[in-house]
Amino acid sequence: MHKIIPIILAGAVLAACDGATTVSTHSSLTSSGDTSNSLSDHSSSSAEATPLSTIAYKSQRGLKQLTRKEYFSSIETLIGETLPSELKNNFIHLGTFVNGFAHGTPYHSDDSVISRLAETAEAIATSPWLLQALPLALREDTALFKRYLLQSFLFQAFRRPPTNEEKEQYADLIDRASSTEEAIQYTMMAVFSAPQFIYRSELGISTKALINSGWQTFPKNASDYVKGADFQLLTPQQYGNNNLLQAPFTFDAALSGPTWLTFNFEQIDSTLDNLQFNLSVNGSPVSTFQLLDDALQSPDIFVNAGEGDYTISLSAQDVGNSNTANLFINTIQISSAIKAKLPNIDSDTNKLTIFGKSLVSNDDTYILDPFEYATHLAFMYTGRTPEAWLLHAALKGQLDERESTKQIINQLIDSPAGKEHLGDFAVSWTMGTLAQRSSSTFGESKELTSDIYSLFQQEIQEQFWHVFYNEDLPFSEYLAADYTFANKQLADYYHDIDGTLLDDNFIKIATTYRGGPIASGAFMTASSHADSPRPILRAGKLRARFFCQGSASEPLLIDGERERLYIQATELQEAEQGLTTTRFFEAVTDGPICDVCHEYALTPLFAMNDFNALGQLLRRDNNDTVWEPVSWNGATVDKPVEAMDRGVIYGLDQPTIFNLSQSTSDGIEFRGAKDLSEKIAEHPTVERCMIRNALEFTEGRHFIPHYPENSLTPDQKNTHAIVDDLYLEFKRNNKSIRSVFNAIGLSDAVRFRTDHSIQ
Amino acid sequence: MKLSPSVKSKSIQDNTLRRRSFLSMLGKAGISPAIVKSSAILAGVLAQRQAHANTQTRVIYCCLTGGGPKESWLPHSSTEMNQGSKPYGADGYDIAHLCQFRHVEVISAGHSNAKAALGKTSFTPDIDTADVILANSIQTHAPHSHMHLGYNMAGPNLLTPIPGSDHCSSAGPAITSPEQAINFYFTREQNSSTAKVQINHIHTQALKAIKPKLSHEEQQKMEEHMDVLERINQRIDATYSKSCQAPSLDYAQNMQAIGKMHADIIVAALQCGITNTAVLQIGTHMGTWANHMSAQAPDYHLAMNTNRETFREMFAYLCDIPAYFIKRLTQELAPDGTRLIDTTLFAQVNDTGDGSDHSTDCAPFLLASADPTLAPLPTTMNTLQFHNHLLKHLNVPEKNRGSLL
Repeated sequence: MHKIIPIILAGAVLAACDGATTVSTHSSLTSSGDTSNSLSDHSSSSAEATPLSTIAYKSQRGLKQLTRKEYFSSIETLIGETLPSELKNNFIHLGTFVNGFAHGTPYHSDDSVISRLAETAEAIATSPWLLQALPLALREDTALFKRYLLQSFLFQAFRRPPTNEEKEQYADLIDRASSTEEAIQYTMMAVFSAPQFIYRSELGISTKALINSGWQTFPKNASDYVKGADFQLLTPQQYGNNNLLQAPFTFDAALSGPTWLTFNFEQIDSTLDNLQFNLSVNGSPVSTFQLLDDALQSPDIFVNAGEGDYTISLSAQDVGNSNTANLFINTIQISSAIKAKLPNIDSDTNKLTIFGKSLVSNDDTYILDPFEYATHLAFMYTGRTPEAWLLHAALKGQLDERESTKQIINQLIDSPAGKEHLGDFAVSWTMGTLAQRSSSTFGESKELTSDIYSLFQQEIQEQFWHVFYNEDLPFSEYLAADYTFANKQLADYYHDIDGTLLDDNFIKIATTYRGGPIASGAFMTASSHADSPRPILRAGKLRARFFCQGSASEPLLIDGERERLYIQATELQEAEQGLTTTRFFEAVTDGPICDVCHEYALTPLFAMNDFNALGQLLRRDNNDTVWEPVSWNGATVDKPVEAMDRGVIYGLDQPTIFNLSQSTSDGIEFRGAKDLSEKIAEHPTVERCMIRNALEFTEGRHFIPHYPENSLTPDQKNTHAIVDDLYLEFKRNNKSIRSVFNAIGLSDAVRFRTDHSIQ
Repeated sequence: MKLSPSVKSKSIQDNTLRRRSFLSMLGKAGISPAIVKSSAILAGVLAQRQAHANTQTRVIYCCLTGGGPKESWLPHSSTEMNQGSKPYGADGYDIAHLCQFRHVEVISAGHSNAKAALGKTSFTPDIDTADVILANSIQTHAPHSHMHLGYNMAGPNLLTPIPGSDHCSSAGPAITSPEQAINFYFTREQNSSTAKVQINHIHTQALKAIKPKLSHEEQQKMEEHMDVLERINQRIDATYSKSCQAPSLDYAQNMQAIGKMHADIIVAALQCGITNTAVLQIGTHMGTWANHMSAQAPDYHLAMNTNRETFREMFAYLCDIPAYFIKRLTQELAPDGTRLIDTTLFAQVNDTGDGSDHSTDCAPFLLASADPTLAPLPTTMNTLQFHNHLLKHLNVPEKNRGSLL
């Protein structure tokens, strides 16, 4: 057998003797060495073993920095408009990339990050885009803008109600401005670079503090209705610009539940010095008020007449006089009125019940407060700051119960932002950090333009959405589908799909050698140079991204060996007058040192190279022979891709590492990328790998399997166990991808935290 | 930590020298040491400005696009200029003795890749150009890490419709109007500097509030964040405590005059310490600019393809702007009282070789400076080697050079 058994550690692998792919750390153990420590399937679920009332996992407390994409998406959510691309081009660096996914931790807060953040915030805050995106009434009235900022905008931007101190600080900033426009610029500049905005809190509150004092961000009095984070302004155009005094002013509003109303008036004639206003809803009086001194704004008026359309009437009379005059309402401000739900604490036992768990005061658990949890869910499922409704749900206690939280998670997943975010997952999973780029690894070719590149990404997204949003379809459908999604431009580019009847819209279309993320233009170009495919890179990326067995890193420098192999390959090239790509890379890795990683882990996967560097299929003849055009001395000749006949997947039964000595599998033979994709579609290693990737993407939790198992940190062991539980959930739910995503948000590891190592 | 005698002695010597230099600067500024002693804030600001003055290097990239006629760039001798290099010689601004003229091989042939001029090897958006890499390395003492001005930059992206591919710099959009540039970097800055300082104070309060709840590691990050905010405020105080004079807006509405106006604005910004890195881009990658003195060709692109003499004439017209720019650097002083050209590297770069055949070779590049420590450029080189020459001179570590390596 083999003298040297390859053991490839996840996150560190891929021997590369060609310089195109890479190796860093790898362990080679002799067959007599310690090879008994592969990470076996953690099928003993702690979820099954753990009573529901016990917390299964706790993650560490801490902060996350918004990633670059989260930063811009969050600003778009706050303002309600799409940022122009020139503002997004700003060279801001936030968060980090781990294993191809953007993470909020670890993060940096050095000069280059913070100075750039300040510049970016300033560029956005002073842009015409921002001013135009705000309602005219806010742009023209500093007092109104101040109320909007302090009541609504800061609530949403800080993802919790602002403290009184914060309100004072921002009010002071407004007061220093010489115009409304300047007030907008200063405060937006401040918010878009504020620590409360760029750092997501996942600190939680200790059980003891919660039992003793309640949620720190909540109103202390449960009977109070507080103002929500929404801020709707009705302008004269919307309510009819009625004259108020000459007849009762009425307007219809479709209000939803308890509401605060505030009226802003035009200048009031000084002779009308004793005006009394009467507000009624559907004919029933609800409030009487007067304006204080010279104020042009009514007090906040609480209205609660259930959900639906109301007719609201406002009349006024100058008490004691018969004066009448024209008096106009500028704007009517509508905000939700919300009664906060305080934590469920048994007054007799002093026990806290939350998320189905009972906790006592001396428990060392930290619990994300409802706003922190809402924030976490929003970023997990939509990649952006929570909208007002989600913050309101947090205030109402809907995130303290599993059932209502499930519904909220579904609402997030089904939203347009949720769909876009899940599409990002599919693309990032397939392409890694290259998903952030607009062209292939090393620049563009004539054919592979950025347009085509974005179509590749859309193809992946459409396939993923199709399977994700149809829970009857199992995960394997995503890999093994005998169809893909394409529009005319993509079909024409691919050549092997008939685009005659297609238009600009993507539709489902049958295909033989495509379908799924592996047999796709996205994956094949992400693992190619602009002008030629890189079979080693493809094999390595396959193991890294779909088997979770490793990822490319630094090249292994082998003095002299690489040069010797290149000479050997060049001589072969001369002798055979040109080599196919796979034959060339077989030749440059055909040596004892390279064999450690290449012989079984990488080279047998060369049989998926029936795609060229542009993501197009190579020609197949009637005998199923694949032909690659090979250039030699100015001529191009088709040569058979012999590697197609040697396709075997070894070590697929080894989750997290490629360890041939531990493998009990004979290897799975395959021919071509699509065949490979079909044959691994139901393999547990691949399924678990999807779950790991989903966990990394949504949770920002980097999965670092260590070898051997007994050296795992508590955090790493915990992550393994979470994957195990998610896998069981996956199997219980027809192997639906969506079930995995749903379960992640409900995991104890999200809501419950610890200060120290994970328990 | 105990210092060895020799290290300790050198440290004392360095401190003494720094102190003497600092006191000398105070004397020149007419500030008495007694006043400095009585004002810790003033002393801090002045000391920082002195430290800044001692070490600061500045870099200007003048990005011309569309290449130039290969036969008209390199001077015939140190005193005899060529048609394109004439503005640098005695018949022009007479700064050729500060310049190293080179033909450089650029990264890619053809149009639509303006960023190649600043070393970007692909269209991927997350790769920084040389100016941005430098801005990260030398921006610590300036309120703006980077200035990006330009004129006639927007061109049709016929070949690769990628947003931003017409800009040389990856730093985002440039300001094209001199009025806007002055408003952004001078007037508005002075108006909003108080607000910015206040914003940073507000953020510092927020960081202080959250810090006690964090782990030791995260507390350090919050401290680092607070340090940066404090330094930004110091920069604003130091820069705007004196009156920064923006150039007066008096220029003709043609490409040369607007280019020179932008040059004046950048020079004023360097004088005030507003920035230490700037990019001035003149022209679009497609060469669609036309408002030059010659009426013979509709635009640069057509001239390079159809009329060699007009191509040469237009190229010389374009080169008048960087030549003027270099002259201005010799005339104006840095915050420490030295000539700007003594501490400024001026790099004239291009995205194209000879525009007529869209080839990669013979792109007109130039490096100007009076810094005596600057090593001569090799006689043959490519764009990446050119930029690495600058980065090496400025001690930018290889690990920070991104895709330029």
